[in-house]
Amino acid sequence: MVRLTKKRKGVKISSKRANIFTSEKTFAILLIIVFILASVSIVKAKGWLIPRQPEVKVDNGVIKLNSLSLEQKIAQMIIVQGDVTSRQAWKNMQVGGVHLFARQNDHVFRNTILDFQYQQRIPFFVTVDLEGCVNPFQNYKRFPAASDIKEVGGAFTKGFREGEFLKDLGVNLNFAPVVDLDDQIWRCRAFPGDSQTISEKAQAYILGLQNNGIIATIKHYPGKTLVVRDPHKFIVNAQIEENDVLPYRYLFDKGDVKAVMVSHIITNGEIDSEGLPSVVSKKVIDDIKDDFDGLVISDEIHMLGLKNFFDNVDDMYIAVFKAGNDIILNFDANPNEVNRMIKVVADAVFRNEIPVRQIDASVTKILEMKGFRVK
Amino acid sequence: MWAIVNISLALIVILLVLHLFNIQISPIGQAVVTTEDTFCVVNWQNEYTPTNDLNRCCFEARKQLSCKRNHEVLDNGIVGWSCQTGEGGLRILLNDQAYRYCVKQEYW
Repeated sequence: MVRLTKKRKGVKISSKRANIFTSEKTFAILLIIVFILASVSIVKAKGWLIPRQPEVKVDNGVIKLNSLSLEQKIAQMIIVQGDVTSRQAWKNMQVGGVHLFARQNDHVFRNTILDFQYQQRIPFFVTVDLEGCVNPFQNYKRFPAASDIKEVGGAFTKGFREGEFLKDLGVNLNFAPVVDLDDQIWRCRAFPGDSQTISEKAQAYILGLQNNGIIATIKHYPGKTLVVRDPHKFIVNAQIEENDVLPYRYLFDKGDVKAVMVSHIITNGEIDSEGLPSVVSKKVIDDIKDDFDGLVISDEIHMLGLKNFFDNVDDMYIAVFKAGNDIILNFDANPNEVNRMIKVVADAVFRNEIPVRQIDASVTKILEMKGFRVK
Repeated sequence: MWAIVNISLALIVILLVLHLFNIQISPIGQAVVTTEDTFCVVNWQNEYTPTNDLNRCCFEARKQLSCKRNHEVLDNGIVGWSCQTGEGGLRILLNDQAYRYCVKQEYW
């Protein structure tokens, strides 16, 4: 009897041991799976799973447009946020440009730009917002605010000094000058004076900047973007008067400025966006292109003034391309979403919703602005 | 004890698989952030301008080098955060609600 109880106890202990062994085994397996899945998730989040586009063939400064895939062409039309953690993803996608926000010091700026441009067959547009009083270098380099520029000569000097500085750093496209007439919010982003004076100061600034090889961008077409709005109203309308567009017409006519940025506001009056945000209004963009053969750049597309206008983000992606913008600013920090945007737009091109010749015309303009000859 | 640990791990595996295939169980784990009671003030030199364009405000705040805790009191209320790049430059002042909204934006 005693022997039997001992035997039963022994069986119980060994089955308990077996259970613990199975549980430990399950734990180990699950832990390995968690580790693998977590690693894959991190890799995916960083955009490292985005496939690398084939290398573009550049022969003596000449690029054959047909050698670029549709995805490569669309990617060239996008400027993203130049976050170093997504650098490889942006390089793999071959996006057209990277926009840099403020950084700790000169050294960090230079290294970031060098890392981005390293081994790029088609270099990135490296862009900043050094405009008015918005200065991403404020912690180590200061420039006078646009609102403090009293004379046309001062505007040229401001443009020239900023151009010299940006060129030395490796930046090649600046989203400045602001040619809005009335800065009611920031108080420092626009030049002082009437529309004629602002136009002349902007022209002088552009010449100073572009003398150093930095592309200037007049913004935000067609004006009235720096005025106080109704509370909690993201989609806004503005009545555009002749004075608001005068700087744009003046500067297009002078023929020096190389880029214009279009805003999200719905306009009527002198410029009628027909109930659409200007940036997705084909009429507005076509009108610009009638007078101007430089780059038409969208304002950043994640502003609610634009986003709230659409039922879903895919419709917005298609609309900004379809309207005819040459460059689209998408500062989404998630490279996977930007990659998805490229696919959504490519599908729209395949469906003939966006004409392929329009994409080709924009990409040709971009590549020529980057110094290539396009065949 | 092992059962609890293993079930927890299994749940994590399920969540990771869902995440990997972009399947979201909304709004689990996400705080609801609205624009209610938000305020943003732009400070340039001695001028303080409140703006209702919170989206533009967030975007300009994102451009700055850093956003730090701040305890200034303005007419609009208590400022929770001050975003700026360097001394003497533009400052974007946000209350806590506005800052929470800003950091949820795609570009942040």
